[in-house]
Amino acid sequence: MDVEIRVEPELRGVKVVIHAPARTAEVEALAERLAAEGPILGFREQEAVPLASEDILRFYGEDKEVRAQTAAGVYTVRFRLYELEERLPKGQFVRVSHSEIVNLRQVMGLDLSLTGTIRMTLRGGIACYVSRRYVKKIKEALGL
Amino acid sequence: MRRELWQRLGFGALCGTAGMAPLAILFPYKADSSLTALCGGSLQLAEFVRLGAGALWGAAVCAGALLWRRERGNFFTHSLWNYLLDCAAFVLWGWCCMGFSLYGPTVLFLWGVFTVLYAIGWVVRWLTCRDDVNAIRKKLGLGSPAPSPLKWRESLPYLVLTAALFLCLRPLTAPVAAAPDVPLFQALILPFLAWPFIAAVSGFGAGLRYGFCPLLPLTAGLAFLPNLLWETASYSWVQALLYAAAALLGELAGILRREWKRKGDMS
Repeated sequence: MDVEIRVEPELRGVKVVIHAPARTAEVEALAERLAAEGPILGFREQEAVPLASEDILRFYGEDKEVRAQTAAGVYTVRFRLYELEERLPKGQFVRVSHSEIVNLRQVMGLDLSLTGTIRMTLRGGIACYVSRRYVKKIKEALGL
Repeated sequence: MRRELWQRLGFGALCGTAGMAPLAILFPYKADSSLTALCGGSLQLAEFVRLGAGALWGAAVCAGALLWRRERGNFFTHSLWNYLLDCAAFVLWGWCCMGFSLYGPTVLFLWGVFTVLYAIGWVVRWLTCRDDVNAIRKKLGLGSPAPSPLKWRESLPYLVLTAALFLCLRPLTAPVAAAPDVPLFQALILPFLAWPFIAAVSGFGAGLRYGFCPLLPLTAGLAFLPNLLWETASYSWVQALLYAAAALLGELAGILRREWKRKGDMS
């Protein structure tokens, strides 16, 4: 396999194009490996921990940073919420408010509260509030 | 959100003003109208006020939709403020733009119309929101929540509509009921037919669907009480108990119907 790097200053990001005589299994596997971006790294007290998507309860914004909450604790991630929204699996992670993305597989309860807000309870009793403007997005993510 | 609010206010004001322009052209204010008199006899100022009232009403309607998309704050408090502002804008608009004179029953009529329409719109939106939540909960495989305290969440649409009708039926009929030769309506039809019917029917609906909802008879009784302030009608506070009883009987009928239907399905 010949590997060639072409520097094009006008490009905004890294783009990989595979030139091949046919679309073989090897070519497909190579494309899949290149497309996979790997686990999200969570940072806490000088350590960097790869976070598996099934362990993450939610992402939320706090003190101008984005945090990832798991059962093991809270980590800081080096992505913006909109970047996470593009990167994460659409049917599993969904934006529920301006500052929160939730893992739908970790939702234990959902109801309208006394103040008219939609309260979502995650595993471990963690509560978050769904904005009414994002209800449509949640329904789309669930195929409703 | 703030940017969207200003955009909606601007767009609504523009639409409201544009909507009023034909009225100003086709039905210009006369020198003897009450608004012209309030504007010191200036027809131009009266027209300006009319256009302004249209702009205010358009802005209020457009911005009001954002109420259902706010992320922070108490939704019910915001609903109340939204209602008060929209109601004031609507009454002003009706008074200025439709040529109504400054007459108590007419203003009350406008208030009654707006309140009932607002209550219906609010209930429809609440039910849509609740249905969305139920659909999402079902799709996620979550169990139904336990009944809310006093079944407030389940019976909320019935509470809002019952309260709106008890409060607004008298003002809605004010132009008719105010006539001195038609005491039949306010003295007989309203207290002995309309209000008991409303209480019983809403009780039946709530009982059929959710069983005993203690807040509904309470709402029927309390929502009647402001009608005691009417000078021209001699109502009594005892009627509040009667309407509460009517709602309760309606609920009982609904519960019995539900049980009978359930037994019919089982057999």
